[in-house]
Amino acid sequence: MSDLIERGATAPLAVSADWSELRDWIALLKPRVMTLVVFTGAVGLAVAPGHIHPLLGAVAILCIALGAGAAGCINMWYDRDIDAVMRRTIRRPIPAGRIAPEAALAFGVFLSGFSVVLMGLVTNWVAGAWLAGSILYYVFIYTMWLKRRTPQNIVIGGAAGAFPPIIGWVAVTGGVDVLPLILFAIVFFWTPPHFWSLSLWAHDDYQRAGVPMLPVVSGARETRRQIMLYTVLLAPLGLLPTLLGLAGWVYGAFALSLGAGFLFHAWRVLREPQDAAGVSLAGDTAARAAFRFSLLHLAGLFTALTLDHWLRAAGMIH
Amino acid sequence: MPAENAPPTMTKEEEAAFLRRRRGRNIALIVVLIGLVVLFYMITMAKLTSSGG
Repeated sequence: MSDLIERGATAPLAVSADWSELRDWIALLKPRVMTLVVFTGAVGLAVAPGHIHPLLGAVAILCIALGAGAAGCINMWYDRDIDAVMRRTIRRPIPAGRIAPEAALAFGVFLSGFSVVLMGLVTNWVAGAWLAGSILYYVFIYTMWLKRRTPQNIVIGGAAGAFPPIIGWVAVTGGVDVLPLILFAIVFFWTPPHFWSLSLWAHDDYQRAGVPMLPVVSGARETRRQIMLYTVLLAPLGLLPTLLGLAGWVYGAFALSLGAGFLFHAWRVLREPQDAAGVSLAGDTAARAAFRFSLLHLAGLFTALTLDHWLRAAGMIH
Repeated sequence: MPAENAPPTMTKEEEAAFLRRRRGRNIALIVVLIGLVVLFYMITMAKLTSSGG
């Protein structure tokens, strides 16, 4: 090979050559989604009763991240046809031609197996089974079956993103309890208003790709109503840990104010000046604000729960 | 005169970029492999410690 360069000649490599870079392989794992998964998984692990060696806890979180990344990678392999027509995704490694589809699939399948086996060996096999279940759910139920068939795809996909707190908890305790199930429900009901707020001003891509996102299928007016509905369900769910005595008043105060804040933003989205079809006449400012607040809402809620847990464990509050 | 069915070729610059990328992937792979060896060693030590071994 170096001979060819030294000769200054051209090399017969262009078609089959692997042009990928490290960052392309990292991009396959959807690192931004991974951030949320790592965060909620770590909170599930932190608030679980019992003790886990810090290194083993860190490896458990790594496994959750790798499992989610692997599922995202297989998702990119499967969705490469629609990724190639959406502005947001056209530069991803597969549609851009930097990674071959079958290489991406192999990478995703290998990482799935690796993360599940490592989780099982390092913590316990119940956690490994939950991690495997979350990957299978995301790949088969969400990606392959329902994403392209129903406008409720975000609701169904939300469940996949809601597994990590349960997995983190099970990694410590070996079993499921009420609190991780409530955390699952919080992420599950948080996801639709979060993504639908975004989709209100960014649904052109989905329309082009034929993905039945709610604003594309049912219109903006219905999407605004659904955002309100899910936020109304989410607010009391956030208070449930305190009401059931599973968290203290510090968390309760945060949950109350964050829930009220999200309700206020959902109300603004619902009442924003709009035309007959529900399309914003104000540049979707309310939806953009609701999307931003939703990020703060989830981060605040889970951080408050961890803080509350530590303060109670230290005997500083009851 | 190149034949019509000759394989596609790279310019000198493309070839250099290709080799640079391949070197980057290889370095990343060796870093991951060494990282895994260290990680598995630390996991073993942590398991032994936490089980009282």
